[in-house]
Amino acid sequence: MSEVDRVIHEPARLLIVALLSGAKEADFLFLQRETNLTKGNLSSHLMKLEEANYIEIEKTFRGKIPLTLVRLTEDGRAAFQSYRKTMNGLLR
Amino acid sequence: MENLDEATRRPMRYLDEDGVPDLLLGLNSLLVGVIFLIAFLLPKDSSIGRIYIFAAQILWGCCIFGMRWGIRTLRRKVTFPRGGYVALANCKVNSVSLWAWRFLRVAVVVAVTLMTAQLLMKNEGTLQRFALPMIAIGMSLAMSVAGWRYKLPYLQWLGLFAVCVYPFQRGGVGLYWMLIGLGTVIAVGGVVRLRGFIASHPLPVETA
Repeated sequence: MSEVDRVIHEPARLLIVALLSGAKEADFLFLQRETNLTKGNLSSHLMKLEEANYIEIEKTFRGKIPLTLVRLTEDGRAAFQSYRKTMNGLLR
Repeated sequence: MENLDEATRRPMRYLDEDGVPDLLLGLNSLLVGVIFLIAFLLPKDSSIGRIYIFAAQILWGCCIFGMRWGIRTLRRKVTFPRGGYVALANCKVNSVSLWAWRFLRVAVVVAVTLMTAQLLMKNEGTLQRFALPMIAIGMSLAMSVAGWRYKLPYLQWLGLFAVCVYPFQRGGVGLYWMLIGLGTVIAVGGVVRLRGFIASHPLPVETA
């Protein structure tokens, strides 16, 4: 059986990566609304994905409001594609 | 896997939820229809008529650029503070909806160019025989495909409407009325969807 990427395999992180794969970049609020995670929970999942170099996080401001932008890296995109391929192979 | 596909499409669906493109596309179509209807109704031989036709081209260009600016501004002020910011990845060339919208834009540009040519040269025969059916079919196809792709039945109804009203057009003036009618319906649809979006996406507490 092929090895499944444990970083992406976790459902919340898988959803985050799937959402980001359909976008160039998204902010924290969008991810929070779409995943229904709490701020703390989402932050910890984002941190894990960032440690694995699957996403990059940019902290900036929109006027006076802090804005956290999240992007999928090339590694993250490749890992997501590979995960999908692996899961397709397992389910076949 | 089906859920993953659905999740990857969510950013695109989210940007379609707010009705902002519909609102601006409708307003744009309405304005273009009004601008060129006035040009059609003004006496062609008068100096005011000639100046207006020239000004109408500039107004038409302003409408196109204004639409893009309007979408960006409305989203920055209304959509993103409520539902979050998302920017779509560069669209793939095989995206059906992308081609449909490109086709619609080309159809509208061709329509206005032909209308202007008609106003200037008064060559209505060619226009009625070839250009108007193509424009009606083009608009109808673009709206039907976009409606199917984004699961918006009202766009498909409008597509059907665009084809059905063609036989009732009387030369160019019918097309202007069609642009005004369709523009009004699309803009009203956009307003309704934008209101629904605002109601379902209250401002987060820290930005409210």
